[in-house]
Amino acid sequence: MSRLGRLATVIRAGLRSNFGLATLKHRLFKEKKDRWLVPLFGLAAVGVLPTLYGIVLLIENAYLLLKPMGQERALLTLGLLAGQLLILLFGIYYIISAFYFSRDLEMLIPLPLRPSEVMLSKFTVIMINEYLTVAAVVLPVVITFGVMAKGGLGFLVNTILVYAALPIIPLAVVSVLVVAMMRFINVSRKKDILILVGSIVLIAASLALQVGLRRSQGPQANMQAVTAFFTSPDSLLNQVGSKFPPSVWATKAVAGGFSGEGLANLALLLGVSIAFFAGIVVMSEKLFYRGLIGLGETTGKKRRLTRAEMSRRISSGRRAGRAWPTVPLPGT
Amino acid sequence: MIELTNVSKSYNRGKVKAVDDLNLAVKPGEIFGFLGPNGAGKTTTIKMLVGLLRPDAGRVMVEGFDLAKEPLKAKQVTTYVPDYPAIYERLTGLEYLNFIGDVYGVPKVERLDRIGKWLEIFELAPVVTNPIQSYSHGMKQKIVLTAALLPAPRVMVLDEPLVGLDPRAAHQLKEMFREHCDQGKTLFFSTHIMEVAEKLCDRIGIIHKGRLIACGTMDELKALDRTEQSLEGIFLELTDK
Repeated sequence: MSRLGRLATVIRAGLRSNFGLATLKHRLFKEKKDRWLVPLFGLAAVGVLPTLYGIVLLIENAYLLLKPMGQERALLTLGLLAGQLLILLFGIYYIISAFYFSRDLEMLIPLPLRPSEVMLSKFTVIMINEYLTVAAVVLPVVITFGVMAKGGLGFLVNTILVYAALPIIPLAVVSVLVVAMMRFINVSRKKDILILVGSIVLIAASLALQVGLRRSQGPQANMQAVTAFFTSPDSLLNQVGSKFPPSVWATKAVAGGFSGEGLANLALLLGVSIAFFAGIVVMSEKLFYRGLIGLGETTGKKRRLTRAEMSRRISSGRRAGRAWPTVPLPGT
Repeated sequence: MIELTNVSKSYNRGKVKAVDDLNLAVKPGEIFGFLGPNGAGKTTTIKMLVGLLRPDAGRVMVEGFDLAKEPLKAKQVTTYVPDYPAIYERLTGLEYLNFIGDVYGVPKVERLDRIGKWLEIFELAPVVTNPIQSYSHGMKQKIVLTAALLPAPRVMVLDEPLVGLDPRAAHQLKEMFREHCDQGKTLFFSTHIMEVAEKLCDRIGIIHKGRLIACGTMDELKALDRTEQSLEGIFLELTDK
């Protein structure tokens, strides 16, 4: 089997395992259990519709407000940036759990698979999860914008490609952080601490960046931003996206469609995403198994307890019994 | 063919020596039983054999491939059955077997024959399209064994493979062990069942506190202590130190 074929096999198995389609089919159609969940999920979906309608109205109004000032594309940037930030935050949890603490790893490592194949299967499953996670944030903004701006085929094609590429850069950043941490720091079996530390590091880094940028701009910058808002189109877009340029490229790719600007930004976004993707493939081949193998190595101290220590630690089983007579019975 | 040369592994930054300077060779066509008390280093050795742990020192060779330098080639000729069924629980039995078949590149005709044979033997055929999650512990063990047999590997490494199997399946598996090795293949397994090791193994190794304290055929082990003639007696005598 070719390398690509083997990779496809591992990814397919990972997806089937993650989404549990076989289990769902078995429960619904063979065991005929949990069928009541189907209408319940349908009802929940219908219940979301009014909220969704409210959000769409809000976006529509914001679009109408920003359009005369030439700032409407900032809406897209906000939606895409929010999506990417969500991916970044959820990504820490997803990546640590899937890369280092999923139970199937003990089965996958002894198989004739490259470290990058195992990692990419995990990465793909996380990407699909992220598409579903951020759909509620990104899709209403993009679709409403498309309808309002009367986006054509170029808008549709670029939106699909941008949405496909959206999680790659943030997830690659988190992957590098986590794989490096696991390689060089011994944190075996401390999953919760790792997730907490990872989240704190990312939030602290983004806050520091924000504060640093604000300080470097000074009070004059705010005045300039206000002036630019009214005089130059897309100034808001550029300001919102300045902290994370891929969101600007994504916005321009989606809004620009098949125009020169749209295609150039699409190429930029896809090119950088592919470069990040290639980077983590190379990194995983070298570092992934080094942090992973032996992660479960844990031993305990051996110490014989004295009889007195043992006596303190062994429960008599009488405490609950002792408490029982003190509980007032009904009617007494 | 399996060769372990001066293999050592310790935990807790060298404080706990799990395997200490282990030298061992298992020839083609040989069933090798690996015995030892709990915590003696059996599972650590097995995990180093299949790439789940990296030795601190020494070399592990499988069918002439150095596991550290050519892991893919070594793993391509080896299958492993752990002491608990680590598996994609949400796949059906058949999906899992197909996954293993794809990874090892087993052709369709052979896949069909081998899967059919072992599903019948292990009485898994009626449940093979159900998710593994719904299987009992013994059934999970049987599907893992079927998957390990599917590529017809040159080397099989099994950690307590008989635990959880019903007597019929255990009997069939023991017959398969013999059949497998009669084709010139190698089988390395750990067990606590002395009777199985005594009857089935061509050679037996006993590990205690990380060191291989005895290794040889049953007759060679008996010659170590003339007063003890059963493997159980020899094992108890050797590990009571």
